[in-house]
Amino acid sequence: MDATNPAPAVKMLGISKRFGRVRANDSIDFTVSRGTLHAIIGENGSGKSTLMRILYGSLRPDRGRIEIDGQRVSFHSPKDAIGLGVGMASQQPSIIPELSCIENLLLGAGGPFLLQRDAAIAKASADAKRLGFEFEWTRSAGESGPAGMQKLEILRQLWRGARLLILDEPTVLLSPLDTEALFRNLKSYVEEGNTVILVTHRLRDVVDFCTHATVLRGGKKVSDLIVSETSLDQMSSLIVGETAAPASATVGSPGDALLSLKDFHALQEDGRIAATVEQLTVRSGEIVGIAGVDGNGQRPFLESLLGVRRHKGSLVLAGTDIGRWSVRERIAGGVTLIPEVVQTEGLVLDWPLLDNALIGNQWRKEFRRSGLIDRRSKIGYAGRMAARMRAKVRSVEEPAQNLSGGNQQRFAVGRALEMKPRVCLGLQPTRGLDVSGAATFYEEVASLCGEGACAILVSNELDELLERCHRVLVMFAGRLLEVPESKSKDRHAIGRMMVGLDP
Amino acid sequence: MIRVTLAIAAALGVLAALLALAGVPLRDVAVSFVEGTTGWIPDRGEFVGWQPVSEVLRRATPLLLTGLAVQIALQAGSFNIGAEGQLRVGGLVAAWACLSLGLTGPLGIVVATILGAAAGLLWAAPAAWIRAFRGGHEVISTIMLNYVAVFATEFVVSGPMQERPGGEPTTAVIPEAASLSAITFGGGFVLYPALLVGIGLAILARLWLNRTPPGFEHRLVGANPSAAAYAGVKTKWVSLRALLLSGAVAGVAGALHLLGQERRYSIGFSPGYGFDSLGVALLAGGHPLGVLPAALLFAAIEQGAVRAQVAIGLPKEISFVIQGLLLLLVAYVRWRRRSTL
Repeated sequence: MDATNPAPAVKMLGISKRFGRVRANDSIDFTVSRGTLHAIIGENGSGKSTLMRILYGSLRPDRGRIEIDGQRVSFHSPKDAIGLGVGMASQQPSIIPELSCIENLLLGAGGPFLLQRDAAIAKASADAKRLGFEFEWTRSAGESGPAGMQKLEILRQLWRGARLLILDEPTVLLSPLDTEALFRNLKSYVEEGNTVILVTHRLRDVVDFCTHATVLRGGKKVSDLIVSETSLDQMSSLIVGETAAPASATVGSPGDALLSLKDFHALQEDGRIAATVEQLTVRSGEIVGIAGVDGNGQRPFLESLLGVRRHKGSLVLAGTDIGRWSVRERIAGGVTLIPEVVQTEGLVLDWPLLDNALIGNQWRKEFRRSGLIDRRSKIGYAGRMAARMRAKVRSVEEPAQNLSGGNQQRFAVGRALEMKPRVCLGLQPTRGLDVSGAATFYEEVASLCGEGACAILVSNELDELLERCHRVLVMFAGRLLEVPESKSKDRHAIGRMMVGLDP
Repeated sequence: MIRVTLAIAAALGVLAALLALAGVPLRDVAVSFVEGTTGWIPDRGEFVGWQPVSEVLRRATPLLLTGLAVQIALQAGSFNIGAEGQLRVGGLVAAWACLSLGLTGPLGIVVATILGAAAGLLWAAPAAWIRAFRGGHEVISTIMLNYVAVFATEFVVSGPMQERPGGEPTTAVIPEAASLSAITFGGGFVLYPALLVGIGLAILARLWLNRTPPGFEHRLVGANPSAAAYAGVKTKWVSLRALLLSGAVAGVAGALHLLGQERRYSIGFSPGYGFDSLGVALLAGGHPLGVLPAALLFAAIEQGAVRAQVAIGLPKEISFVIQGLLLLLVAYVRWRRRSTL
């Protein structure tokens, strides 16, 4: 790519792509100028990821032409796109957790026959600095957690010499500090004549960091916007096609204690303590939010409540100590967990949706007739769980991988809600959901809680938690911290607690 | 299904090209395969009887049962390469039950089969335990246990259970009253009851896997162990159970092969059914009932090759070439389907 070339970095004309009967992209024209940070926004299933996968060569369009720097191109695979300096960091990073961070970068990058690790690390550190990241290069990527792997995925694109960087929901797993650092550095990256396309649901990021935005709805382009001339409200109404209803705050006031923890420690495999909760009482009807930078013990904490991880200390549900209950018994007793990455932890992507509906419900009697699992009850249940979160599902017979990422999330979240839990646990439950999806989720949780349940939700979306939860706690360095009453709605004070600056 | 059929057609195409290159008359090969497996002689338009069909069914029986065994483990994400060893100890224990315990009659057959199943299960147990609780790969441990089974059973029939000291390495023949005799119908059609047991077990396995909670958990562990753990499945125990069940079915295969066909355990008890069964299970894909057509196809290929050797002198080892081509092409179409999604 030549910085003096006047042609736009990307020009896509009349792009159409169908999946079965669905028009994922319908004659989309999309232009990105060089040196800009350009956002693509739209609801789940609006065709954003499809368009980007076409640009990246991992999908072939049915119709339409693509120009990169004014040159017409035809990509047969991502390899062709990478050759032209197009890089894409996807929502589900293709990082191999068992390999070290540096090995993940070297993987598939070509280079000399013998790997020169020290030289590679020096170059990688320099690239990482450009993005404001730091890594322990020789440790396995898995140890750096989902956020670390996400960062590594982005870095890998630079490593391969990307000058046009496509980022699909890059910040969902990142802490506010990392997010800010990333965007600050992306700014200088585009100032060097590179280009970034950002696929996101976080309109705040668009307003704060992007220069241009394109809105998709139902597979069609709705509008091209210059960010400085638009507003959050205008963008969100363009996304949904009407003026979005103002978000309603949580309703109802909590009742009696439902879940009580005392001197509670979530343990690692080797018996070391992964998270500590000295004292926590969640009342019936209460929604508790847990804020924190990813990897501070939120995941082990919720996993030990479900029982997939061992714990020490007392865990009482409605007056009964459930500490010794198996996962199956706890699920039967009304505990349910929305996993962090539903695609790998909650669904079987090549199974039909109706079999996915049964996961976690396999022992419930309502699914059996004369002792055998009954198809009709699965169909009914799968339909209800899709409806609960308004997942766009054509047929419950189709495999889960036919749904878009956001609809997979909706479907999996719908399953947890349809279980009618007494204790609803969520690890990033609104991850990958658009604004209306997240709103539906919190309304459903509120209505469950209205019927006497309680919820503990872990999220990186601090604003969402502050708006929707009765109270917000902070998890830092494996400890659950109470936010002082006076600061309970102060996002800056909570932000400081999240990085360990205040008590 | 269409893709698998295409793969079979493509395998036959490649085979025809290879044979033509070697100067083998293709038409004669085709005719002897048809004759050898159906009993119908195309040249004369004449049906010579049910004997060839019965022979295909006889060959298919141990393949069906061992293929089912491998398939059951596969459904839970484990690869049981040890069916050969489990089959052998199942056969030997059934022989021992008939000869030493003096079991006879229908009840005796049932007990001998159950003992064979128990032997297969126990033979799989070390590998199952290592896989579930020590993280050792079942492929390695089950392969190793095959060697142990082959030589341990050889030792037993060369010493403790040998028919005549100093004679052939084999047990005595089990009494007529203890064996599961074939039933001969009019027209020379011979039915091996073990085949019906195999079909019944395949139907049961399908029902269990698709329609019961433990069967669902079994498949879930195979498809996504993390999702299974979150769904309250004790994944380690399910892995353990999967290999034990698989071993038990392979043990049944051995016991029935002994009671119904071999009637004594010699070192030539199995020409490698346990290994062929890996191909049968792979060809069947994810369907428990798919092992039935797959076993029939493998048996027909072997039977056709035997006929071709007699008729036109084509070495019967051509069956390995055909089976190998078939598996490669089926693996290719399945892999392609996955990668395009």
